[in-house]
Amino acid sequence: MKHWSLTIFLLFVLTLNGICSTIYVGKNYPIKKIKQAIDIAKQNDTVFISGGIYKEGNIVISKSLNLIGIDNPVIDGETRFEILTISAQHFLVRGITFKNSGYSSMNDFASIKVIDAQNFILENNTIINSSFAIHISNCSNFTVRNNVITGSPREEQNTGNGIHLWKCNRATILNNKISSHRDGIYFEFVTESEIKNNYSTKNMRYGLHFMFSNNDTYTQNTFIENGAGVAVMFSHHVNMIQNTFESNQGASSYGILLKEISDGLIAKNIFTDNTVGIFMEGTNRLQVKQNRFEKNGWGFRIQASCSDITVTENNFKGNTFDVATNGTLVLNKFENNYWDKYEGYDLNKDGKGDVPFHPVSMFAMVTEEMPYSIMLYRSFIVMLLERAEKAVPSLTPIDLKDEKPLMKARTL
Amino acid sequence: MNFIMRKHIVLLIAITFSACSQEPQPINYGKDECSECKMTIMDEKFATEIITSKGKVFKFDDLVCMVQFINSGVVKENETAKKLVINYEDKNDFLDVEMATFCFNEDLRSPMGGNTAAFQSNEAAIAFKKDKPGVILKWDEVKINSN
Repeated sequence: MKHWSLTIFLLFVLTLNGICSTIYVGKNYPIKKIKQAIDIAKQNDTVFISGGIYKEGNIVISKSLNLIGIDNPVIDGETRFEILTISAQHFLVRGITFKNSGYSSMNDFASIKVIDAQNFILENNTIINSSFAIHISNCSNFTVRNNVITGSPREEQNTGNGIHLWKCNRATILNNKISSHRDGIYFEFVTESEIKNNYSTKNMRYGLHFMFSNNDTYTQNTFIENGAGVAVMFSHHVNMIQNTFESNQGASSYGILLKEISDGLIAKNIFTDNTVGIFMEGTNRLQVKQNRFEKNGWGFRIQASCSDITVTENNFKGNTFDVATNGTLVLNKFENNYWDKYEGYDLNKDGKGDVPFHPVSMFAMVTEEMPYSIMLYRSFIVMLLERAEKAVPSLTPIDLKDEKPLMKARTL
Repeated sequence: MNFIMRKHIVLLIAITFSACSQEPQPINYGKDECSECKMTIMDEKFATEIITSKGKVFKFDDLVCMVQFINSGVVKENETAKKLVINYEDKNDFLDVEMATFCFNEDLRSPMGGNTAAFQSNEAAIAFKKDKPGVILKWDEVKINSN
């Protein structure tokens, strides 16, 4: 009987071992190096990396492993190497600090590079002073969450993107903080993905950059003080909801730059203190709804190449120019917005103004042609011309109007 | 002629001449905007520039953008004085597109997907292509390839 129970116990332990074992790495363990642990690890093993600094060059993983840091281990790329390169199914990287990845003008060196992988999680990592921080290509079904990523601003244009996705689908990018990279989050050929609750700031170019990426959603993100705001280009079916775009200032800087976009929704976002809130070019069938445009240079710049855009229920407050356009052809609809510059009245008390509002001012048309004329903006003569234009419109597109402007701002 | 007067004349001459110069303007990376796609120009390997016969400068972040800009007719090709592209191997060197040799390679990942690098000579382009797939092109072929 005793014999039996021992055999069963041994069998049990052995099977457990066979399914997945744990390996510890650190100065207090027999295994000192991460590379060594990865070499001996089998499929589905867990490697715990204890606190300390590891300098091991480029670590390459091609099996399903859980890589978990205990007491904040630091892996240093010594500004020469790509730190971690993974190509596998079902893996996890958690709680590790990566710093000083190398830079190369030919290859996109990254702190964590994932290639041709599925079903993985990268979470709670800290990435400092990298060229590319997280670089994921040709992958699907994965999550990148709770990472803190800080680039090095001295690198200027040599720096790569914070979270860079290329040819991926079904990705979730959640709760990350990204600063001082080229683009905070970069999507190229990425579909059916979600970007939620990230904080992207002080990046050289864009806080978020979409290229050729369709059917994606980004919600509740904050983009502050990025070189040029957020760019969404050459994509369709992109939803942008409840994001904050703030203090994106400069000659070529926008809250959102939209180019060649169709069938999307921009709702419940906040645009404050940007040079331009939204800039649109070659954009079709887009709904802009219930957003706040406050204290921007231009609230909304819509080029004549756009059509079927509906702008409804937004608040425009304290912008220098609410809307600007570069042509007289208007194929877009403005309705039920609140404009703080509206001077009409509401005799029938239905909450909507009785006369239409023309949000494009004369001088907005002039500056569109001659940007430098902005220096005359507050002059007396411009004010006079503005009044004359209101009485007898000649320069501004007559059809660009809000038939039913709201008398009171909506609470958004 | 007093000193102030002379200074003004010098300034006036300087302004007049600077307005019609057809010298390449350095690209201010991270600040300048591509005239076609509106993106901020960041990548030192793929930037290009058009100088019109009137001396106006347009900057681009990718060869594709330059070709599309010319095709769109804002500036026709016969109104351009110079069409320049950054040497892939020397970020401070502008090459004339007619003189340069190009290499198209999918792995280059240029900002707008043109994926075309410019080289000073045939030899340089061939040396670059040696260990990877790619196609060697001249400017006329680049124009067709970028459509």
